[in-house]
Amino acid sequence: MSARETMLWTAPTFRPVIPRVAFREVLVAQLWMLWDSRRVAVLVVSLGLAMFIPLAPGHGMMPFLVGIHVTVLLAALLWGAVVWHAQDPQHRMEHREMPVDFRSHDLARVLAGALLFAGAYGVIAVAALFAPPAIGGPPPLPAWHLFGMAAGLVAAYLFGSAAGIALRHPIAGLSIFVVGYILLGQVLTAVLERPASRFVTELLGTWGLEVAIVGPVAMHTTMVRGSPTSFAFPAATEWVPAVCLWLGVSILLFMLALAPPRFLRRRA
Amino acid sequence: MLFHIDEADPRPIYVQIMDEVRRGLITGKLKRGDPLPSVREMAADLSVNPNTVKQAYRELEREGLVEPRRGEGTFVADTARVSRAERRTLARGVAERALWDAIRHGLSAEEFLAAAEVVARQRGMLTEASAAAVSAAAAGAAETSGAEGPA
Amino acid sequence: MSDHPLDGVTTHGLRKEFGHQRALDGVNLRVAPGAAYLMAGENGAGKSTLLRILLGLQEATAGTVSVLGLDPAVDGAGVRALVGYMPDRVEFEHGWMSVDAALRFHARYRPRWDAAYAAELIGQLELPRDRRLAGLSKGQRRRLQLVFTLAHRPPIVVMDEPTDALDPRMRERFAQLLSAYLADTDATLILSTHAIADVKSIPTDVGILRQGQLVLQCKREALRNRLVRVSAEVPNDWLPPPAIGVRTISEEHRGGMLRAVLWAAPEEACALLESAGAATTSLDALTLSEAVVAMLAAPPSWTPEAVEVEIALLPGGVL
Repeated sequence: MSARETMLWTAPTFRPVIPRVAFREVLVAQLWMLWDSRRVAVLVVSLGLAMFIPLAPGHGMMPFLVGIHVTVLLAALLWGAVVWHAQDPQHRMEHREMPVDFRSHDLARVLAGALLFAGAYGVIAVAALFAPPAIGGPPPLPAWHLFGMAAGLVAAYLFGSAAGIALRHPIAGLSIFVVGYILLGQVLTAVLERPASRFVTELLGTWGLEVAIVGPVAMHTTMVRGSPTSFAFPAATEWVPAVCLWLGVSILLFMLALAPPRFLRRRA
Repeated sequence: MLFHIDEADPRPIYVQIMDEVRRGLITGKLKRGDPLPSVREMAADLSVNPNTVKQAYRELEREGLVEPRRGEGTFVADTARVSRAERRTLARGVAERALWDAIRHGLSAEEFLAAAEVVARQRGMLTEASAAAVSAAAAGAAETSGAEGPA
Repeated sequence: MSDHPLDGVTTHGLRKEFGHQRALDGVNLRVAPGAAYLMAGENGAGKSTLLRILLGLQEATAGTVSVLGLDPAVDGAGVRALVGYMPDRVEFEHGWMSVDAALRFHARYRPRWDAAYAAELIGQLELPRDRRLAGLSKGQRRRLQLVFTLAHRPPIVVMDEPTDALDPRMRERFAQLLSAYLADTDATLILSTHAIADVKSIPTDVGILRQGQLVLQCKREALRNRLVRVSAEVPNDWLPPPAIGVRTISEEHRGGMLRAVLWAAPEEACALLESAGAATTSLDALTLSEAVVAMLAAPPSWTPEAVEVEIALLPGGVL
C-alpha cells in the first residue's frame, strides 16, 4: 500500500483509545518533583538571604517587601534556571520521552516553579505583615507600584526560565549575562562621561534595565538635618515604560525558548 | 513433564511443541485428561512467543489430541490417541535427526543402521522376531513410498 | 488481530539525514499488530534513530510514519502514551528520587498504570523500593526501566537494547516476563538488540537494517526455512554451479571441504549439492542469532529479492 493510499484511508475500523494524561496531573507531578528534589532549598535559601540583605536604596525605612525587592528579583531569576538544572543534557531525554506534548510539558514545569515561588513569596509577605513598622511608617504603596513589582518578578522568572530551557548551562549563562551587563554599564558610563548623544541617554535612562528593576521601589527621601522626614514614590511615568519593555522582552525570549521557530531549532 | 525446544532445529517452534506433547502421550508422561501448561506458563518457561504456543495448541486441538475447557485451560483430550500413522511420523522425525547426527560424525547410513541394530539387541530391546518384523516393515514402507527421494 | 493498514507500526520511504550523513534510507517498516519484531543490525545502522522517530523524539527528513494510525510528528504525545519505550540509556534525570517515588512519578503520567502489576514486576526483578535511583547499579536501573515500560500495559512496546547491562540470571527473567506480558496483552513488540540469544524464540518477525536500509523483513519461520548451514566434501577443483553460487551467503572452501551458509530450504540445499557432485556431511538450520550474523556478513549488495530474481533467471528455472 503506497503512502498516499494509507493517508487517504478515511474510515479506519480500528481507532485506539489513547490514554492521555491531563495537564493538571502533569502539573502536580512537576510540582511534587521540584519539591521532593530539594531544589526548593535553593529557593528558600535565596529568599532567606534576600530578607536579610536587601539592596533597594534607603532600606529600613520603607515597606519590607519593597526593601527586599531587588534581591528577590535576583532570586526569581536564579530560580527560573534552577528549575531546569540537570547535570547532563541527556537527562532532558527522560523529560521528552513522557507522553506529553513538548511545549506543554515545559510549560508545566515553568508553571510549577512559578507556583512554588509564589508560595514562598506569599509566606514572606505574610511574615512582613508582622514586621515592625519603620520610623514614621512607610507611605502606602500605590497600585501601579505593585504592578511594577509583580511585573518585575514575572519578567525575572521568565528570563531565568528561558535560559533554563534554551541553554545547557543556564546558571553559567545567566551569570555571564548579569556580569556582562554590569561591566557594559560601567564601560559605557566611563566612555560617555563626555557629552553623550541624547539617544544613548534615553536608552540607558528611561528604558534601561536598572530603571525597570529599581524604578517601582526607589523612593525619594527628604532629609532634614540628617534625618528623613518624608518619603515619596517617584512618578509612574519614570519607570513604567521600562518595566513594560523588559517584561515584553522576557515574554518574547521565553516564547522563543519554549517554541523555537525552525531556523533557531537545534539540529534534531 | 518438561517441554524442550531447540532453536537450531529446522522444525518450526510450534511443530516442536506439538511433537513434545505427542512425546508426552507416547511415553505416558501425559495421560488423558491431564492439564497442559497455560499458554502464558509455557511461553514464559520456554521463552517463546505466546502466539506460537497458541498455534501449537490450536493445531493439537484440530488433531483431536487436546481440548480447551472454558475457564480452565487446555487439557489432553479423553479421546486422545497417538495413531500408528502419527507414531510413524514421529519415528521418521527421530530417525532423520539420528541419521544426520551419524552423517555429521562421518558415518554412512549402513554403518549407523548396523550399529543401531547391534545396540538394540545388546540391550534386549530387539529380539530375532521383532528384528525380522522391522526389516519387513522397512521393505514394505520402501515399496509403498517408492519415489520418496533421499532420506 | 486485523490487517488494517492503520494498525500496527508502519513507515513508508522513511529517510533521515544528519547533514550529509544518511542514517535511514527509504525504510519501509511493516510491523503487524500483535507481532514481535526483532530489529537487527550493526551499530550505527540506524536502529536507535528509527525507534526515536517512531516515538516522535526525532524528526524524519522524509517519508511517513504510522503508529496505530497516529503520526508521531503530529501527535507525538499520543504515540508516546500508547507506547512503552525502553531507551538505550541507563541514566535517570531525577537521580535523587527513590524507586518508590519514581514509580509514583511515572504513574501520574500514565492513566492506565497497573500498580499491582508494577509491584509484581518490582518483586520479580528484585528491586529495592527505598533506594535512590542514583544509588542503583546499572543492571538495577535497566530493570527499573523495564517496570516503567510495562507497568502501564501499553499496546505497543518498543525496546532498544533491553538486556544490555543485565546479568545472565536477569536476562532469563527478562525473557520470561516479556513472554508473559505478550501472552497477557496481545501487545505489539519492536525489539532492537544485538543480544539476539537473550530473546530466544520470542520474535515472530525479523527486520535487518544495514547502513540505513532495511535489507530483509520477513517472518522468523520463513527465515528458518530459507537459511541453512552445510558442510560437504567436494572434489578438487570443484567450482560451485550458478544455482549454488547465487544462493551462497558465506562460504569457506578449503582442502576438499566446503562450509557454506546457503539461502535455501534444507531439502533444496541437499538436492542442489547432490546434483553438483558434493557429498553433504552435515546440514543445520540456523538459530535466529546465527541467521542475523550471517545476513549481516553477506556482501553489501545482497538482498533476498535480488537473490530470488537471480534464482528465477537461472537456466532451467528454479530447481
